Amino acid sequence: MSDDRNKGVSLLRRSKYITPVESSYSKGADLMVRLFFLIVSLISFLPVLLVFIISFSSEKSILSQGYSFFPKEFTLESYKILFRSGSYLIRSLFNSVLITATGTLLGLIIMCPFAYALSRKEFKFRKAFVFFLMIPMLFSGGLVSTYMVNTQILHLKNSYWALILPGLCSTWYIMILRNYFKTTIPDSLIEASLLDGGRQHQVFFYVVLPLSKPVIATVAAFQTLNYWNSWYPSLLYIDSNHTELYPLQYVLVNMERSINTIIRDSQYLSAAQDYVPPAITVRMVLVVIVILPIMVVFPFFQKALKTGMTVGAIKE
Amino acid sequence: MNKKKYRRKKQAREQAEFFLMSLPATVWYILFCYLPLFGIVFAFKKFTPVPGDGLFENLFVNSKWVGLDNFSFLTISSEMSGIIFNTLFYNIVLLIAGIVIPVFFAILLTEVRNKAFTGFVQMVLILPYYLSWVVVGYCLYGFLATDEGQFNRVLTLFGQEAIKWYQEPEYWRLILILIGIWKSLGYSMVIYLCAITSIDRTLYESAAIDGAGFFERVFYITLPQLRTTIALIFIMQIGSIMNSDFGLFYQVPMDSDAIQGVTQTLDVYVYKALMTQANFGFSAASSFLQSTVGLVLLLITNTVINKIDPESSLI
Amino acid sequence: MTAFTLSKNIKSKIVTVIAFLFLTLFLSSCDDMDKYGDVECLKWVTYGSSVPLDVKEVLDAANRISAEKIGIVVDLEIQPSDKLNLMMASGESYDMVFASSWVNKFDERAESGMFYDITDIVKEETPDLYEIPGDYWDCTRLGDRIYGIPMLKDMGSECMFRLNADYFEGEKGMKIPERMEFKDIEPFLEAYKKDYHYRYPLEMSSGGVPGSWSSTEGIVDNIIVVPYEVKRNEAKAIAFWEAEDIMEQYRLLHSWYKLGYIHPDAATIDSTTGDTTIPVRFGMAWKGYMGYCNKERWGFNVKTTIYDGPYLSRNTQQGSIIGISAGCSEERVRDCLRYIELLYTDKDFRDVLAYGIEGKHFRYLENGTVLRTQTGSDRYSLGLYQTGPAISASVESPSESVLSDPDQWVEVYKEYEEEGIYSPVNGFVYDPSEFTNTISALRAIFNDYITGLRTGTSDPEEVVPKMKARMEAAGINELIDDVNKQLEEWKEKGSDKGEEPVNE
Repeated sequence: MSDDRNKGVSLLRRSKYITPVESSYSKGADLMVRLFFLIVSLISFLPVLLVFIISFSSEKSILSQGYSFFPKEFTLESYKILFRSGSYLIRSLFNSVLITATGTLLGLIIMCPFAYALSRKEFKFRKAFVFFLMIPMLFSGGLVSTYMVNTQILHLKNSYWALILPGLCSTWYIMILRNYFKTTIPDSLIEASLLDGGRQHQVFFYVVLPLSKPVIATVAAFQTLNYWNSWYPSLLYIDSNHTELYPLQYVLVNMERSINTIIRDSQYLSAAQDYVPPAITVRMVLVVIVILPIMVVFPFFQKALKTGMTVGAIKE
Repeated sequence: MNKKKYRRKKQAREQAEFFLMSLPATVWYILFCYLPLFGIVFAFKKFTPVPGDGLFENLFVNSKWVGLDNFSFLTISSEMSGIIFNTLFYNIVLLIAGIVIPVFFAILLTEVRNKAFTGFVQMVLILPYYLSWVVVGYCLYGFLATDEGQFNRVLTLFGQEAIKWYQEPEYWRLILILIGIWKSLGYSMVIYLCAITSIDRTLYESAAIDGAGFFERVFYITLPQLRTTIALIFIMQIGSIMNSDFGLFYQVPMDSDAIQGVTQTLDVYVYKALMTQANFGFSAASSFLQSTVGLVLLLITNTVINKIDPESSLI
Repeated sequence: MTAFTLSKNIKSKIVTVIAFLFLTLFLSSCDDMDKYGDVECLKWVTYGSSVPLDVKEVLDAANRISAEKIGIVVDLEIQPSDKLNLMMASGESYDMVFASSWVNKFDERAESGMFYDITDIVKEETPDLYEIPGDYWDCTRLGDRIYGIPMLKDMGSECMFRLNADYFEGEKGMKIPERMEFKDIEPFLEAYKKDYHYRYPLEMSSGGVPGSWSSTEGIVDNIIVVPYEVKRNEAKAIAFWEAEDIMEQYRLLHSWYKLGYIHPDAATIDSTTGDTTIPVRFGMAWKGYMGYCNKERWGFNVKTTIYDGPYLSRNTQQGSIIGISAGCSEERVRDCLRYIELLYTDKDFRDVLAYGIEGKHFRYLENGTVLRTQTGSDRYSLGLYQTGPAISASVESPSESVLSDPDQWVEVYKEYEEEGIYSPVNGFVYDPSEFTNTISALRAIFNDYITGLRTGTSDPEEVVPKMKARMEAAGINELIDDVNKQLEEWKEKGSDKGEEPVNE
C-alpha cells in the first residue's frame, strides 16, 4: 500500500512545476479589460447593493421614496426582529453547518470516484452509466412519489439525513467532474502509474485527485452553497414538532412566511395585531444572510483555483 | 497464453474496480431517483386514492388508466402556440448567450495580470445567482416602479414621460433576457474558468515562443481546449429546452397581466392552470412531455456532436 | 510529498467529521408521550404556512391539561398547503386533519372517502359537541351524512371600508355612515385626491378588493358563479362576467384607476400594509369588530363602514373544519371527538392552543378579553381557526385602550341569523370530474386577466371580451351546461324532501 502511494508521490515529484505564462495583454489592454470588468461587476453588484441598503432602510423611507440607494432613514429594526428568535438561531446555525459540511463531503466522496470511472475509456460500461445518469436529470417521478419513497420506504422523516441525502449527487456535477478528469489529466500519466503497478483506485486517489483540486473545489463550492441555501426539504421532511432540526435557512423562510401571514391577516380577519413587521426589509435581511457565506466560501475556492494554475502545468 | 490470461484477469479486476467505484453513486441514484420514478405513471392515470391503502395500490390498482387524457389541458388552450414559442425563444437565446458570454468573459478575465482583481470580479459576478427570483423581482421593481422607480426618475429628470413598465410588453423580451444572463453569468463563468485553468500551460509557452498574440492564443489554444466543456454544457442544456426558469417568467414580471403575452412560458402556464388544485396527474403529464422532448433532443444533439467530434460527445 | 500530506489531512478531517456526525445525528428521539402518564396520543395535522417558534412549549402545556381532563394528548403538526396535499396523496397516516373550502378542499376529500362518517357516533359519544354547531353542521354534510366537525368562527363575509376618520370627519367635515354602497366611497376618494394629488387614496394590491366575490357563490373557482340575489328555484350558474355586481365593481375600479385614486402599479404590489398614509382601506370582518380601529397602529382614528354582506354560503362556512381519517378505528374516532369537544367547551384549555401560555404569550384584560404580549406575537402567533373553533376561545383585544366585546360572537351569530344573506344554492357541490382539463385551461385564462381586472388596472370593456372569446374556445359553455344540469338535479332532490332555502 505505502509502496503504491510512494509511486504516485514520486511521480508527482518527478514532474516539473512551471509558473503560469505571463499575461498576453499589453499594459494598456490590461487596463482596458480591467475597466471593462469593473463596469460589469458594478452592474452585477448594484442590485445586491440595493438589497443591502434596503435591509438597513426604515419602512417609512421605502414608502416615501421607493427602493432607493440613498434612503432618508437607516434602521436596524429588521435585524433586531431576526435576533428575537434567539437560541433557535444558534441551534439552526449549527444544524446548517452540520448539514452543509456532511452533505458536501459525502457528495464528493461518492461523486468523484464515479466520475473518474466514467472518464476512463477502459471502463466498458461507461456509456451505459452515462445514460443511466441522464434519465434522472430529465425525468423525475414528481413530488408525491419522491415524498412517499423518502418517508415511507427510506424512513427519512424528521432526521438530518432527510436534509442531507436527497441532495447528495447531481448529474451536472458528475459530468463536470468527469469532463475535467477526461480532458485535464494526461492519459500518459495515468498509464504510467498503472504500469508502475498501481490499481485504478490508487491512481484515482494519489494521482488524479491531487491534480483535480480546481474542479473539486468548484463542485464543493456549488454544493456548499446549495446545501446552505436549501429549505424545501426541511418543509417536506421535518415536522413542526421537530423544530430543533431546522436549518438556518428554514428558520428564516419560516420567519418571512409568518410575517406574510400577519400582513395578509391584518387585511382580513381575526388579527388584532397592532404591530406589523416591515416585510420587505426583513426579506432583504434574509437575503443578506444568504449572501454572506458566499463571501466566506469563495476565497477558499479561489485558492484552489489558483493551485489549478500550477498543476495544470505538469509535465511528465 | 499465460500472459493473455494474466491480462484478461487484470482487465476483469480493473472492471470490477470501476464497478466498485461506481457503486455508491449508483445506489444513491437508484434510491433517490429511480425508485420515485414510478410517479411518472401519474401522467397516465386518474388518481383516485382510497384511504388506508398505500400509494402503490392507490396508483396502480385503485386508479384508472386514462391514456393521454391528462395531456389535454395543454392542448385545449388556444394560446399554446404562443406559449411554446416563448418557451423555445427564451431558452434558445439564453442557451446561446449563456455559453458565448461567460466563455468570452472567462477568457478575458484569466488573462488579467492582477489575480486579486480576478478573484474579486468572480465573487461579485456570482452573487446574483444566489438571489432568489422573488428578490430579483423586488429589485427590478425598485428600478421600474412607475412613481418611485430609478429609471422613471431619470426619464422625468430629462423631461420625458414616465413609463408604466409593467404595462408595456415591448420591453420585456429584452428585460427578461438581460436578467436571465445577468443572474447566471457568474455561475457559468466559474465552470469555464475552472476548465481554463486546467489547460496545459506549456501550450501557451510554446505559442508565446512562436510569437502568438492574444487572439491567436484564444483561437488556437483556449477555445479548442474548452470545446469539450462547451459541448457538455450545450448538450445538457438542450435536455431542458422545454423547461423554463419559473421565477424568471413569473416572479420577475410580477405576473403582470398586460405583459403576459411575452412572458408566459410552459411552466408558467402549468402553474397558472393548476395553482388552486392539486392535480398530480396534470402536472406529471406536463413534466413528462417536457422531459421526453428534452431527451429526444439531447440524444439527437449528442449524435450530431459525436459525428463532428467524438471527443466532445456525452454518451 | 504534497499529495501524501494532503490526502492524510483530508482523511483525518473526514474521519473526525463522520465520527462527530454519528454522535449527533441520532440525538433527536421520537416522540415520547409517556411523560403525560397513560394517555392516548392523536396525530393532528393542521394548516399553517409557518411554524411559530414556541409551538412545542405551548403544545406541552395544552397536553398537560387535556391529559389530566380526558386522558388524551395530541401530536400537533403545522403544515403548509402543498405539504398537506402531499400527505393526503401519499397516504400518510393521521387522526385529525384540517380541511376547508380553500386549502385541503373538504368536499373533494370527503367525496373520495378520506373522512370518517361521524353522523351517528358524534351524537352518541359527544352530545354536548353535537349541540353546538346547530345548522352549521350542514356545511360538513354530504347528502345527509356528516364527515367533519366545523370549527365555528366568523361564518360569513361582510365587506367594509376602513376610513381615516380624523381626516374625513375631522378635517373635511364629511359624514361616515354606518353602511353605504360600494360606489359611495367615490366622494371620499375625490376629496383626498384633491388635497394630495401625488398620493393614491384607495388601498390596492395585486389581490384586489378583499371579498369582492362575496356577492356570488363560486361553483367552479370564481369563474362560474351563482349570484346571491336570485331565488333557489331560479338559481342558474353563469360565467362571472354575467354577474352584474362584479362587473360593476370592475368598471368603477377602472374609472378610479384612471382618475388616479389607485396606485398605477397596483397589479404588481404585494401589500400596502406598511403605508399608513392611505386613508381608505378595505376590510372583511363583522359588525363591531375592533381589530381595525387601533389608533396606536395607524396614527389616526379609524371608522369602518360596511358596504356589503354578510353573505353566507357553503364556501364561507367551510372556513375551517376538522376531518377525522377514515382509516381510524372507532375507538380512535371517539377519542378525536372527545378532544374536539374539550376544545369547544373548555375556555381555559382552548385559550392555551389559541394564544399560548398565560403570562408569557398573552394576558387577560379586566373585561375578560385577551391581549397578546410582544413575545406572543413574535413566538406564538397562529390564527384562531388553525387550532380549533374561534367562538370557544376568549376574544382578543387590539390594545389596552381599544377593547373588544368579550361576548362578540353572540352578536355576530345573531347578525348572521337576522341579516345574513344566504346563498340560494347553499349545500350544492359540483362534481367536476368530467371537466377537470377544461377547468384547468379556464383557470389559466382566468389568471391571465384577473389581476388587472380586480385592481382596476385594466379596462373591463376591453379585457372581458378577449377573455370571453378565449374561454369559449376552451369550452366554458359546455362546462356551464354541465354545472346547470347537476344543479337542476340537486334542486329536484332537495324539493323532494321539501327543503326550502333558509333565508331569502
